[in-house]
Amino acid sequence: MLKIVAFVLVVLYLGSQGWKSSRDIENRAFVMMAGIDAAPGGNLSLTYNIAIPAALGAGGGGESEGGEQEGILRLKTEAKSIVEARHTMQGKVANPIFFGHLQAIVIGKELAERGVRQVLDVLLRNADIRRKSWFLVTEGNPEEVLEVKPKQEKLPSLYINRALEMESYLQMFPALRFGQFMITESRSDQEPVAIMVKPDKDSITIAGLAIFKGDKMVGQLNATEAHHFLLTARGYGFQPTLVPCPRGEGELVFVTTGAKRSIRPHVEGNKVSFSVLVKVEGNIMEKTSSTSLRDEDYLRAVESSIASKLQRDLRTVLHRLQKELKVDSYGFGQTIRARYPKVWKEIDWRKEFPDVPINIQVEAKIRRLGMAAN
Amino acid sequence: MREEGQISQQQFAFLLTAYLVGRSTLLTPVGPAKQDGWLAVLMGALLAGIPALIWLALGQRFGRQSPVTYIRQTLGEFLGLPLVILYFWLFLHMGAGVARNMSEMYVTALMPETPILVFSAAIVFLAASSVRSGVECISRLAEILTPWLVLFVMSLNVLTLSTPNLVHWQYLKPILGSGWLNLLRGAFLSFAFPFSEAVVFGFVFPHLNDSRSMRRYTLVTMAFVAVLLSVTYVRNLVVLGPYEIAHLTFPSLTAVEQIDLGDFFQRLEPLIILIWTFGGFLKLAILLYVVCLGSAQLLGLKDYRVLVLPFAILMTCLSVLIYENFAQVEEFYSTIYPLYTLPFALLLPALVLAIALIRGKLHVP
Repeated sequence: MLKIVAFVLVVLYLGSQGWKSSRDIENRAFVMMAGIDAAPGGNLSLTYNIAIPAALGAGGGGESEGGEQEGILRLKTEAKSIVEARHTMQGKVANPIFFGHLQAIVIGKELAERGVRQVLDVLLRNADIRRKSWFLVTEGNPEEVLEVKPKQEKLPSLYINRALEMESYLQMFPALRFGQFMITESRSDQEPVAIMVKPDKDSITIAGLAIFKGDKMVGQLNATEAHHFLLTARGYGFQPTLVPCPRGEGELVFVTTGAKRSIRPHVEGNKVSFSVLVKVEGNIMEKTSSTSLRDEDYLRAVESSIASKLQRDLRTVLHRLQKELKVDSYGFGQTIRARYPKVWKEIDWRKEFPDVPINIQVEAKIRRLGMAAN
Repeated sequence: MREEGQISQQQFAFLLTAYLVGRSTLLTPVGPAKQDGWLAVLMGALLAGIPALIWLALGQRFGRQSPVTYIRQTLGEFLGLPLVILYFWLFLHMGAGVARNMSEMYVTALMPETPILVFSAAIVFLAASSVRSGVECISRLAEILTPWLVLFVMSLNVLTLSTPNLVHWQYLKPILGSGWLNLLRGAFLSFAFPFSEAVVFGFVFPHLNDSRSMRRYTLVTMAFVAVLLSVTYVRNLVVLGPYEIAHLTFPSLTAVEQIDLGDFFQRLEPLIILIWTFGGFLKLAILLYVVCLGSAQLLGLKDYRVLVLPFAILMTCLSVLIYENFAQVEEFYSTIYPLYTLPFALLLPALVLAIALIRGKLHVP
């Protein structure tokens, strides 16, 4: 008897309380993309793109009458905190807001300069949000990124995700996602960077990198500078290099296919210096000069002019980051911390970094000339 | 006393593996060792070899007798009885802790609106029902579940480590950057959790049907688990970095959710939650079983099954009451817990063994 009563009680309790977190998939409001920017009075202005699955299934998507995008509900609000904003928005939608499929978080430059700690904290504290979301900064209003009307995908969020993933797949631009940003933001030996995007009517382009010091954005690199930065920082981020022909007129285009980078720290007492060696290899994919490349000596000359061009570019970006912005986005501090933990404990890296001598050397190797024989 | 349950050595090894792996990837208190946490885990396991050897010696010496009997015999009723009761309290508390951690994970990461009692009650009563079926049933369950647990832990490690752009081996450096002292402190913490929690197996030894190679099985299992946990810690470290780990409540969950291999192996968090649930469940079942059986032996009951329900209710309530919030959980495991378990895991059995040896020298018992 007692057993039966106990059993009934347990089942009753579990049955009456256990459903509370139940959420049917069709009854969720999927936030696909979130835009957050600073608003006057210390407020935040938030924009969410919420997917409407029912509207997506039918028809070809794209634009319907009145300029509204099909399949997307766009909500906007201003609030002091993100959670408050979420509450306000929840009042407007029929289903519980769910962030599990959040593809991208777009931060306005103004907010980034004010500091993103508040945003990061919410994202970290919230169990829904995945670290694989993209963490993007945009020059203007983040809403413009959310309003992009892509031709190839139905939802702007999926388009942005695909586009950025493809850049990383083609080794053009690394996948700097939210998780990666969090990791570097938490470190004392490296400062975080975030991808900057520029919205167009129906597409986005990578505009460069936002350079952060701690949680505050202090500057930005344009796309070319960003590629050069990434080449030094990660041996990654390939873009074609245009070099003038060493002999005669015309130009050559060198396409990097692989790069290796090594950072060697030197420590004498408490004086730190670095030598960085970047080895790139690639192919000549375009040339406008008439000189034949099938000449060993000539190729060597081309290689050295590629190397010196890249070396100049990498050093320019280093100068900008080290002397002007004074942030160690490269992670030079990491190598000191890893190899000389004792020295690391004694120095204040943020103070030291701008004055540390860093020497970048580039070696270039041409591997292939394409299908053309000259 | 009607409990003639007998388990084989393989079953014992499986049970011990599940018990130690259980929720150990959920909380990894290595305290100040941080970046050398994986070394701390290995050293903690090494330290835990000492109590393991003591318990094994006791188990071999007293054969089929339960610690409930031999502790009282050796120390006398006056000292022995309160000690045995304290042991039961410890196991009850541990069990409540396991139930709480697991429910806390569910409430924090998965189902925030559901009351925590739902998870505690569900898991404790499931464990209670398997406890009623006896140690043989639990062991067979372990035989079925443990290979999967180990497989899942290993495959999650492999998948995480092979996800492109996720692993940064440089996060391991500097090795020993926090110094030997901090490493030892970390090792002590990991000695307490999870390894010294295995004291409960001192109460399971009498059920082994063949106690000859008990020592080998126990030590090999512990070494295996130590390597497994250490590799898991390394995985979290190289994925998240030492600073970020400190910011996260469940680093393992966060590390695993980043698995992304060829757009196919994604969103594998359910696997790790499965590990925690099954592992925690087996752990809970063993603890509850030992408490019920031991109390029945102590009270001279014919059957321990009447005690299962009351103890299950007690454990459920305790699991909700012991901590006010999650911060206390971490605080407890990283400061109080090692000192709390040390006497039970090491000092008391050492005392019992010493007295038993001296008595054995003086006159044959």
